[in-house]
Amino acid sequence: MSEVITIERKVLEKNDAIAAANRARFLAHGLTVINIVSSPGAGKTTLLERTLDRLHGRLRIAVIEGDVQTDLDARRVARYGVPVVQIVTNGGCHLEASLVQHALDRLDFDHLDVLLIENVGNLVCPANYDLGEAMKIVVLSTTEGEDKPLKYPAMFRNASVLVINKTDLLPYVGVDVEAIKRNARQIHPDLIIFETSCTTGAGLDDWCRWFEQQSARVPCASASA
Amino acid sequence: MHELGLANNILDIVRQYVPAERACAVRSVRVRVGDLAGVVPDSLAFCFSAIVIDTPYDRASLAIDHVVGPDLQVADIELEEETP
Repeated sequence: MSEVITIERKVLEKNDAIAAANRARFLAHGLTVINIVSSPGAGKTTLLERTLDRLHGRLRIAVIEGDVQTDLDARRVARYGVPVVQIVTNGGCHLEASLVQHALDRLDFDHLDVLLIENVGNLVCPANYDLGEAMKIVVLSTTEGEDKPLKYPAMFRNASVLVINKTDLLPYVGVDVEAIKRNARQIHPDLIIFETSCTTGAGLDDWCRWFEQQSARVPCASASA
Repeated sequence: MHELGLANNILDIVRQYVPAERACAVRSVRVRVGDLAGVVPDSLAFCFSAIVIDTPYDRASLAIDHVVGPDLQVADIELEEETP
């Protein structure tokens, strides 16, 4: 004979609760928070650098850097004169809401429009951990091939935007950008897609224009609070 | 890659429902794992069996229901009936 206790609780409920608290804080301060995800080496940090460079003086941006080891990225980003907090996960394959919550203590929300969270390079685990962000942006470099949206569907399903980066390498890698887009939209039909090269600067104007508009879209719930 | 942390979350949830004195009666913990949950079910079951060693819950194992979607949910716990 056996007894069954019905539970029906999410395994990630603790993370989700902290993410909800983070989100409430962001909304209260009218802060746009974006979680940038990709595989290692897709160009998240370089895209971030180009974005910071172009929007300097137009938006007040802070950055949280997530890496398994080193503060190399934080040092790169700090050169642009923005507040930056490095999270070292010591082997952890993704950022969790609690890690971001602790990092927030080191940022002054009253003087910020946008917070960019650069997640650990990994196309699997970060997809399922809500940090409290308004949206996820997935960066995919052309060298990774056309099939990645199909192979890592959770990430492309949970992201709102896809940035196809390193388009300058297309002539050398024999990848079809239209096939990347087709595969990505098969997983997520409403995905907003940009094509960029951080080396030549191609596509960065469109990307930055859109990015700047996002910060204006979050209602400033309590700018005076 | 993060199945060990998830296994710990599952054991935490079990602890909230089953008092320590009945811990050894827990036979299985049924978990629904979606194909978009980013979880390797075998790895999750292995991690769970590893973390219960030397705890009062060491007779418990994970039973995994494979589902479609992003679900990752503890469904129920099966305990051996108390002998009167």
